[in-house]
Amino acid sequence: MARKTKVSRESDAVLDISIFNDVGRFLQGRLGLSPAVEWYVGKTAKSIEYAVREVRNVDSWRMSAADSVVNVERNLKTVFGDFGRGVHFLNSSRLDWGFELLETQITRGFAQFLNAGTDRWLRVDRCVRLANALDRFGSGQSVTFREALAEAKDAYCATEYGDNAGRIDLLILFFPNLARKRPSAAIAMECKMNADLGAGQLRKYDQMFRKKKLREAGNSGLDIDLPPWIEKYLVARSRDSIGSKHKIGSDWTVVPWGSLFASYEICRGDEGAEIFTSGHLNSDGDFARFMRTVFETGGGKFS
Amino acid sequence: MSITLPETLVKYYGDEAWHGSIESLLEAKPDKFPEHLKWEEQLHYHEAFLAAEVTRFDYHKAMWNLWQFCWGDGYRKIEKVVGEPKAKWDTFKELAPNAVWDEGLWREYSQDSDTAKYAMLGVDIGNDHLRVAIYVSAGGRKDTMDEHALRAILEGIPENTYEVFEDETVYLTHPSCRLGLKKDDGKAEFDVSELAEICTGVLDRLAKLK
Repeated sequence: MARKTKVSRESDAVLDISIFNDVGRFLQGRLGLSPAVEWYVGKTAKSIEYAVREVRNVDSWRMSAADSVVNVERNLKTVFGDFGRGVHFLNSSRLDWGFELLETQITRGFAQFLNAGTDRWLRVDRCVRLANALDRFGSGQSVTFREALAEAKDAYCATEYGDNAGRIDLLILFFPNLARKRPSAAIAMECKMNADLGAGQLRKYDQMFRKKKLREAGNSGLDIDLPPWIEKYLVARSRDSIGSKHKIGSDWTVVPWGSLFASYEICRGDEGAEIFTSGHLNSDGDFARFMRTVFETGGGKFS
Repeated sequence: MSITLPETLVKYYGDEAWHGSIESLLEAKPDKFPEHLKWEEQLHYHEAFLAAEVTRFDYHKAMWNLWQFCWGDGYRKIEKVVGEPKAKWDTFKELAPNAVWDEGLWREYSQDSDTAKYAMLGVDIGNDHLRVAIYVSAGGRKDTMDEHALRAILEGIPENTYEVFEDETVYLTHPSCRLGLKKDDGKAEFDVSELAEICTGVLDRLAKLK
């Protein structure tokens, strides 16, 4: 594909470079220089032609975008979400506490913001929005899972749920009732920032999820029923940071932190999101600063 | 004698989200496509990516203009301080796009020896300043600023136009070069005549040093 692109770029040439070829022929004919010199002159001509084209490209980009700021802003918002709406993490400064957040602090902080205190609707909104954000990574969430989200009356983000075999960092449960019993769907997130993935770590979680009950170690310590369907994600600095030595099953989707937050912000624009977030801007501001901090901790990259 | 910053830089300095987006796009690898985006969003990403590159180019171009106004071919005078080079001045490795973006536009004038005197000229544009920098080493194993050069640089220039950093690099500016872009007045033109005059004076005084 790359070669094809290069060829078509050259065949589109609109500049007259024949003068350089003429110079090459002159040098060869009159001065008796070798074909290598002619080749060199021809190559130089190509380089000049390419450089001029690149400069023209920049200028034509500018001209085609006479309304450039509006145009660029539209594209930036497609990539990062609408930073003109509410409090966007890129519009927020990172928390300057003089140290980098550890993985456990990141996961517990994330859970705290997703749970949104006592505000049940905001909690459901944030958890569903996160599910939507994760769905953009092509994990192929099932119809049953999506239906469960649509009918969720409450949600809860648990930390370190598991048993002696292992504890998953985040388990987001969606309930079809207010009693917070028998969740109808769940999202499992293993979060990596600096630590490496343990040997067979994800496989142990897969075995753990076959059980019907799990205990939360981090917060309440309560047993909870597991739903029949769990969507599984591995969040990391980048896909490359996981390393090739780990075999990741096809039912786990790798999600970079930066892309996750960009995707989350894109999903803020989803229908209905405004209803839930209005009146909670301060809380969103704290969440945005937290996201910005984690984003920067992960290197400020989104891919 | 003025420098006009293009809209790309005005937005970059004036809008925090825009700033964060551009920084993030410049960190993105060209061989990767963000996994959270959809097939139909590909051109939006590529145009955003291009906008980030254009912003970086505009930044470099603005600094080049500042260099031309303030330092110009000042190296001819610098040569009188550090001696004519035996070979080409430098390898221009500090001109890599990301180096200029991260560090500003610098040029080092040095002989091919670790202990010889050397000098550095630079320009820098930030979110609240537009300034130039100069450093002249005393030579020898200990890398310190040449005292005579420092006196010559600071001689007769107003106090509010210079700052000597911890590493002894002298930064020169002028009140007319304070950006203040966060004001929503869309102004992005800066008069650099006074700063250019200061720079000319600095180079002239250095050239007279024995």
